[in-house]
Amino acid sequence: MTDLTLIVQAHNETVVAGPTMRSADIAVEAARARGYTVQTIIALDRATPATTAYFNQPRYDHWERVIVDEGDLGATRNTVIARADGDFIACLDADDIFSENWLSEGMDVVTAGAEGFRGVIASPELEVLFDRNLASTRNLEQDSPLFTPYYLYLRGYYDSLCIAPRQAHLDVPYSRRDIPNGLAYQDFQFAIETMARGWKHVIVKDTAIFKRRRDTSLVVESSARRAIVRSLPEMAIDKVRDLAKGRFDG
Amino acid sequence: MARTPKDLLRGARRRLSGDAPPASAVSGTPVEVLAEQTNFGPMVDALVERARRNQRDAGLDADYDLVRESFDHYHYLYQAKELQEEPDADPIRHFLRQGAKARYSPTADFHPQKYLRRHPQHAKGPERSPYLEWLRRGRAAGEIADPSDGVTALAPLLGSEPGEVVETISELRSDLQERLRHGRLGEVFARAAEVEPLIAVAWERAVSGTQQLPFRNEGVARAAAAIHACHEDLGFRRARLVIVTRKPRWGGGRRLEGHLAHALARKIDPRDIVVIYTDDTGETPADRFPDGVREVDFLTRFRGINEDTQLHALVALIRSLYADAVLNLNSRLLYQAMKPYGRALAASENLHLVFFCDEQQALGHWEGRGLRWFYPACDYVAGIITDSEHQRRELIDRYGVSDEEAARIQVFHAPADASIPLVSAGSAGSTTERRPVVFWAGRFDRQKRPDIVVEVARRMPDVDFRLWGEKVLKGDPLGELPENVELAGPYDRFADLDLGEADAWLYTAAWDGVPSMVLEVAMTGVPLVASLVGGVGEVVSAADAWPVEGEDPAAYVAALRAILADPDAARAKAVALRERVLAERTEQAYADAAAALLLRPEARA
Repeated sequence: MTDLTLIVQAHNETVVAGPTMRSADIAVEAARARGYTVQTIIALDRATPATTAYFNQPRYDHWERVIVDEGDLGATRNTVIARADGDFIACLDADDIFSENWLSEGMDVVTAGAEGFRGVIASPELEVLFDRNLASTRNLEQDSPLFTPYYLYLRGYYDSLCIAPRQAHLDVPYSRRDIPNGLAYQDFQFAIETMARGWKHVIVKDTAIFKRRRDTSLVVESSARRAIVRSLPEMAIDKVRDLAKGRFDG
Repeated sequence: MARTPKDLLRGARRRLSGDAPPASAVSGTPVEVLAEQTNFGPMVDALVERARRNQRDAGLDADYDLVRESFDHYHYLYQAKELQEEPDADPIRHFLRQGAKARYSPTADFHPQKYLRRHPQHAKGPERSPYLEWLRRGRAAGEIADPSDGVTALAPLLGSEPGEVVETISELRSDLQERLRHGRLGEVFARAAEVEPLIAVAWERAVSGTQQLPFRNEGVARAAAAIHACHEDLGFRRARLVIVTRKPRWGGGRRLEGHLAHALARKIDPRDIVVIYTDDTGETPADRFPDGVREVDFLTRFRGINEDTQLHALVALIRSLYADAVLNLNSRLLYQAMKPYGRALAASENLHLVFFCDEQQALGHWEGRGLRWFYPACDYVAGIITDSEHQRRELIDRYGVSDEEAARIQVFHAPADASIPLVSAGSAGSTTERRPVVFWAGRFDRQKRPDIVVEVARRMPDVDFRLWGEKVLKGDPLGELPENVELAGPYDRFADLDLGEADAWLYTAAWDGVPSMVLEVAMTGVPLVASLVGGVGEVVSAADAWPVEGEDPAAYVAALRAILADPDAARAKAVALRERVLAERTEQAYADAAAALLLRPEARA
């Protein structure tokens, strides 16, 4: 059995992925040094010829390469997760950067579990935007006294670059983006649906992800078109207050 | 004595300030500067140490000394780029010199602009800097100076006082900053910056502006709290039908929303009907809704929040109700929300648009929701509802709607009100013994055409005309009135009118749907002369009323003369009108049609 599968997703990235892959290799090495077995996958989703060529370099031969024809981040994750070996799944977009301790510290947290919950989904403590836009945000665990599910009507708490049990992904597969109809933010949806089903969202102290904000990123695209998350029964008026209380069916 | 968490916090903040406390208040005591090594790197540390050495001696300036106690040189210098290359710069002096115009914050717990926005009176206070005001008095008084947005709005949701929330944020921030500077978090940040040097630029934000979720945007926080307040108003209960409309008082009577609620209350619990007012506030007329219908004053709950956020929140609120159907009944805000979110809303909601007749503008052109919104939205909404066959036909003809698609355009035929009594025949006495009286009611505006009534009155000097209503246009829309016209003012309810005094009712509108007033008059047995416009012909016919085509006053005069010439025959026709309309427009039929269209066989899970 493998403890962790790390999936790097690429579509039209080339050299921008250089620092990404280096940070991933460093974080994987740290996780392995702590005793975790790690499977590493590059998922090439409708990759451009240049992207394919970039990731086919011998320098990345220690990664498995999976060709996917989805044209969608969430659907790609679903496809790759279905064939992943790891008990836990971590994802990385091909232009973002992990802190070196993210996978090792994150694995310590998710494998410890949480009493009264089906399992733990971990997010880094700090999310830092860099490149075109600069910002720094401290994430929030769902049992924080500062947490309110009402915020989720308008904004998400957690990025998709979490570490989650594979089972959580199988229970709650990502939905597809539907930009023409203004429906996006699958990570936001995943967080709500998993939380409602008894997966506890925590943050991992002293870890960070660094999100590259280029002019053409998917988040920018979704924001520009003012997409919103899908309507979810977990956010119904009579359910929302219990969202983070760890109540779930079975 | 054991140290409390607050003592520890003060200690952590002291460490962030980086200076030893002033040795004493003795005038001119040099401040000991402690060299510091942080994860920011030796260049930043050297820059900060240099700036600290530029501090004034303690005891010379009480204000300076007080600011120094909590001043964070790293925090300040990451913001004040112009000081980074100045060897002699003293950031504390720089800050104090800015006074109320300070752009940079002296410590991560104090945001100068936001403090003044919340407490503008301190912009011209007695202190050299609003920060001094806060340190000396404001903080103890509970004034919030924290950079976090939405604390006051969200605190009630968190079951805390705003001050407690700020304290929690501040503790988290101090801990985070300490770990960024001297702990593992800063180490991994620095290592990431070695992998991708562009990350190093982001130190600036991490040190001077790391935001704590969910306090990142004032409008979003307030909107989240406002959604919660609306949920409280609604008793945290779902709905089966949601009507989103402009305002509570929009004409008298039940209107479409009232008819619909009363009709569906035959089928479902009235509490399952929610009405959201988005554009104006006010008091709902008595009897518009059956008891139990829940109403939400969205406008008041969201007052002061920017409209973009309101649009998103309105969609979120509607979706949270998990209703069988949602009606947009002339809500400007919901139409605004449909521009960015219409398709997303319709993806989960059984959304219907309600169109009434278009309105002619002063320059002659027409405006209306149907004109603006039918073609952009008809492809994705569940359906269109009109109050008249006339408008339905107009939409189908104008836009070339196929027979299949036309099925999604439904007419809600307003039910007749059988509780309106038939006026006793001859209760005013014979017209051989008194002057006949004609009633008219409506707004004195371009649509209702009171000018036609006045002209008719001029041509019938032997008849009195009593007009109810009030002018809505500036100036004098009626001009000089003949002596046989009496302005009776507005009325609250149709039932308040003494219809026993009316020998005929005159309706002269230039355009309309199916007017409530025509339906009401049709119940009374008072002979009705009505302009044949819009959906009026769906109520009156030549067999039981006196429809008039065109706007020639002579045609109205002829109709009234016919009524007055044979009052008994006219009365019989008017009674027949009541019988026919009652048979055609039953509340049961209305309820059945509305339920079939709007209610699902079973509520969604």
